[in-house]
Amino acid sequence: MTVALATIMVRLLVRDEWGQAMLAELNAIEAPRARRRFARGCLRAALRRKVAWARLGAIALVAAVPAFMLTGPGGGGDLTGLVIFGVVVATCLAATVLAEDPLPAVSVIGGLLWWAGILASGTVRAHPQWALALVAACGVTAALRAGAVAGLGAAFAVCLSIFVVAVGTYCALPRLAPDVVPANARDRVAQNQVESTDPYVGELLLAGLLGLALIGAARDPRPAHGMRVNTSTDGRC
Amino acid sequence: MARRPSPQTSALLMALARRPSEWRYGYELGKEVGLEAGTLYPILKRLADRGLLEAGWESEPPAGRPPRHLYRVTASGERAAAELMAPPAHAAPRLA
Repeated sequence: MTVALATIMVRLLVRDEWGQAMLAELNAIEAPRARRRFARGCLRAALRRKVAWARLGAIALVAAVPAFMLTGPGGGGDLTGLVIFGVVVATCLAATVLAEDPLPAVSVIGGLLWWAGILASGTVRAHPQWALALVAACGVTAALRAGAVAGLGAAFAVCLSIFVVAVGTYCALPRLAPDVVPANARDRVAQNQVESTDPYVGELLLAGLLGLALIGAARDPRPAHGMRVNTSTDGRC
Repeated sequence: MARRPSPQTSALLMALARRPSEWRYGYELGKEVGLEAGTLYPILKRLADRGLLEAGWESEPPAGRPPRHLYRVTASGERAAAELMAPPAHAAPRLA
């Protein structure tokens, strides 16, 4: 149990050569007690890596999407809508697990900026389409600094962040939602909440598309890509 | 400013330097210096990042088992280990 859990966690959290190295070593140990002890050590080593915490954070971000969508008002959509929603969430989860940098700093900054904007300004709340400019800015910034895949990853993570902070805010503070429904509407607060959440579905769908691209761009961390060593014949060059 | 390596890092580097031409397994190294995986792998990664050891994958693993990662000290790692093994001098050896 310990070994299986540690294997899953390490495989999930540290998808580089070092994660593979620990798991390969674990596979070579036969004594059950030594295996359990080594597995616990592998998990501790994985949790000392920054990328493991970034991946946990990104997974929590993806998990927040269904949590907010299914508990908020207007969550019980039709079957087609639910299927599309399920596919998008599954794609985002897969992209989060496979991405090299699952939660780049620029996307955290982008998400926090949007959150500050909707908390502080009615103008920002009334213009959800401005979030796309923030997504583009984060993506371009990351791409210029670290390449196209990094840009893709940043745009993906900031889309998810914006969706979660906006929908989460309107769930927790429905009175902040812009007043967009007709004056005679029943339960104006709940209806405003639903209507104000709708534009952000675009960010979620965009996150799904970017997630697909990220999955396609994910590098294979298997040992075939590393230096090969023949222990029987290799001497120092 | 030179940073003094931790006792665990020193022990690992010296263990690797004792058999400089030999590729070593992580589990075997951990047992030799008394380090658990949780401490061993972060140190191995750090030493590799600093160019003090090289890492590679086993080319012909036994059937049914994935290739293991192997480690060997580099020339600069050997120099750093030699400084660590030398009698105390004025300054600590630099590990980067």
